[in-house]
Amino acid sequence: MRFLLCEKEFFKNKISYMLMIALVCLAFIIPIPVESSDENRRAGILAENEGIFYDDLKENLGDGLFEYIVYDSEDDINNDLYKGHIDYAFILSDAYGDNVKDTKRSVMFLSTPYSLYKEACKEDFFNAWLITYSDRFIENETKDIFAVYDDDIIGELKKRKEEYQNSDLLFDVNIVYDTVPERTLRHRADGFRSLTGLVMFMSVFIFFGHFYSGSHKAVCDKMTLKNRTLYQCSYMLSVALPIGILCLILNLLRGATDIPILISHMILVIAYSIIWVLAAYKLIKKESTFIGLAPMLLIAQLIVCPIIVDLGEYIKVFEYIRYIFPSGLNL
Amino acid sequence: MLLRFLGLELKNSIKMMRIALTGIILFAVLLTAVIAAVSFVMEKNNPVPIKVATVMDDDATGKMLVRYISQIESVKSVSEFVTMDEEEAFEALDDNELNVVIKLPDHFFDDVNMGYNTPLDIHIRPDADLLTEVFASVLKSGVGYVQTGEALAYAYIDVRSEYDLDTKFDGTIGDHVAYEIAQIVMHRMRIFDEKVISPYGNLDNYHFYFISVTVIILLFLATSFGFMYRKDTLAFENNLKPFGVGPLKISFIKTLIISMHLFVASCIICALSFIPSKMLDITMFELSLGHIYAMLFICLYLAVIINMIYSLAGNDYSVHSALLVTIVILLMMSGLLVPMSRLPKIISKAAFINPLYHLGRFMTEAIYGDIGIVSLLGMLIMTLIALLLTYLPLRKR
Repeated sequence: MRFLLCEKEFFKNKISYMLMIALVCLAFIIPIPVESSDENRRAGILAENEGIFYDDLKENLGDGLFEYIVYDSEDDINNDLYKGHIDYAFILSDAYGDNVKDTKRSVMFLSTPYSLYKEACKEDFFNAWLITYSDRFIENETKDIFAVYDDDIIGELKKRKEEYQNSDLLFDVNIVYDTVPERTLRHRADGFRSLTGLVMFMSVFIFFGHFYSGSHKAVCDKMTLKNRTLYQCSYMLSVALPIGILCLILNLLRGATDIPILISHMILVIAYSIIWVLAAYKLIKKESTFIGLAPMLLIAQLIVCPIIVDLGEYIKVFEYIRYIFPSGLNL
Repeated sequence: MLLRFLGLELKNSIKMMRIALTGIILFAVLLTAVIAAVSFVMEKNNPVPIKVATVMDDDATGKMLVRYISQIESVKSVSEFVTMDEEEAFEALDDNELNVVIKLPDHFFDDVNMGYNTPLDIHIRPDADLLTEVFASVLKSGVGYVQTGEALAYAYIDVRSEYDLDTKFDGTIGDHVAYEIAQIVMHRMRIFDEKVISPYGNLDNYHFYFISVTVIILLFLATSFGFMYRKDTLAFENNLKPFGVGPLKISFIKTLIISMHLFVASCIICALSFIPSKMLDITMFELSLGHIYAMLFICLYLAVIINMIYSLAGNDYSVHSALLVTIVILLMMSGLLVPMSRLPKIISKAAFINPLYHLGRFMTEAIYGDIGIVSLLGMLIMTLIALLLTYLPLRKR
């Protein structure tokens, strides 16, 4: 009954709707960079002078980790790098026509400050480049090696080279994905999940400020400690529950499929938030200090928890520090 | 009476600001340290490297090879090599203390010397993160180079014996071809010329984040001036009317007091920025008269906006909460946390109505470049709108 009354109060407050609208906006308008960092593997490619080398190179690219997108103009490449649609780009100079004249500084490699795997991308590109270049090597070097230049010999060398490349006679590595104990499986933070945790926690925190003055305080003053705590918990639950349900729906709309884990995450965040706020309320006697703490908490969580950037990926200690806050829980 | 009111409000605000400023300074120190660390990491473009263990017989050639591979720039940028015995390595892989185990088969180098290509086993955890995949990709590229060299060498050896061709590299034609390809591979980075396209324009990472941190701190500091707009304060202000201190003058004094405090805070932030600047040997903020004027204007701008919000809405708990939510949304859409170029088009188009966008842009131009007419106009128009929205209702009163 008490819970229902609190719920009614929550839905009467304009701020509740504002919070929910804000959450929907953030879910659909704001991209979460934590997710996009997963895609730090798109590269653009463009040739100033299209020819056979470029055609062959395009065929040899793209078997690896990086995805290559062919562009027609340098402006498009720069624009897409600027907007973060691609993270790397290769522009082949006019040295690459039907044959290669001079390879030194002949490929312009473009990247952004967000391009994390520049060296790996260059290696991947160079692998395809070398395969393509090996045909030019045969064309250019055979005369030196055999002192004859015969189209048949060139053709035969290219054919043999390709046969070897497609055979299992060459040096190779076996990549084995080992079975490891399930308890040690690594979990990758979902930015939006942390964001929903942040919204739930901040909503509970903000609404709880009403207990410092007005009718809630008056009611609480007349209660025993047990009843007061129960009343405060049910009040916080009445705030967290609708927002939690909305978060659940938004997570599902964004493609989440792990519903039991999602529900467990919501329950944990709500429980942790309630404990957090009760502890803060016990420690902070002044309403103004409690209100003043809200922006600090908000910024601290935006930085420490994996919402905008997962600092734990860069600095190990942040993987643990984030658990201080409810939004740091990321199941 | 006006001066006495100013003095009173100033005294009150200093008392309140003492608490807020202590928090802000502590927070600024923490933020600056965090942002310096992030900028440093991003500037180096090195994520936390993965741990790779090599398992092999006690072989000098093997150790030399591993040392050589681990020092290659692309490998070094994503991984850290350790040598372990087999049991220890696989236990560490199971416990998530290692990401990859490279196992060299017994007699691997004997096989190589005999001309057999015994494959290497690379053991990866099934929950491999992107960095481990990147490491595997680098490794595959390396294998690709070897394969191309081998395929070419074998092709030349075959064709030479089949066509019975003469060569000056008698008996060592394979070695010659392999050597030529190895030379190309060794100097592979020479083919690349490099250029960075930054979403921050001409800014470095740390400049971008310095602006973000400064704006965020000033913004939240400004919101803590809500106490000047409480109902009891307003009741007291009404009593000043007979003494010629009307709502317009009071509003002006409040704006002045807020901007003064913000300016002091911004000076502290700029002073604190010298710590990471010194540590990282970079320039975050340069002290000059132009920068001081710009910071003054920025503080005044923020004070006018905050004064408008509190004057129009009052200060009860709901207003404060609504303000907090609005600020977060505006911040996320302002290009201060994520560069504007990386936000959806609709947001960049609507940015001109976001006061924080103008603030960030003006501050960036003022500190790290030349103030453009567009950003200056944006700030002036926003200030004018805020002033009108504040003072028109007050005039009616």
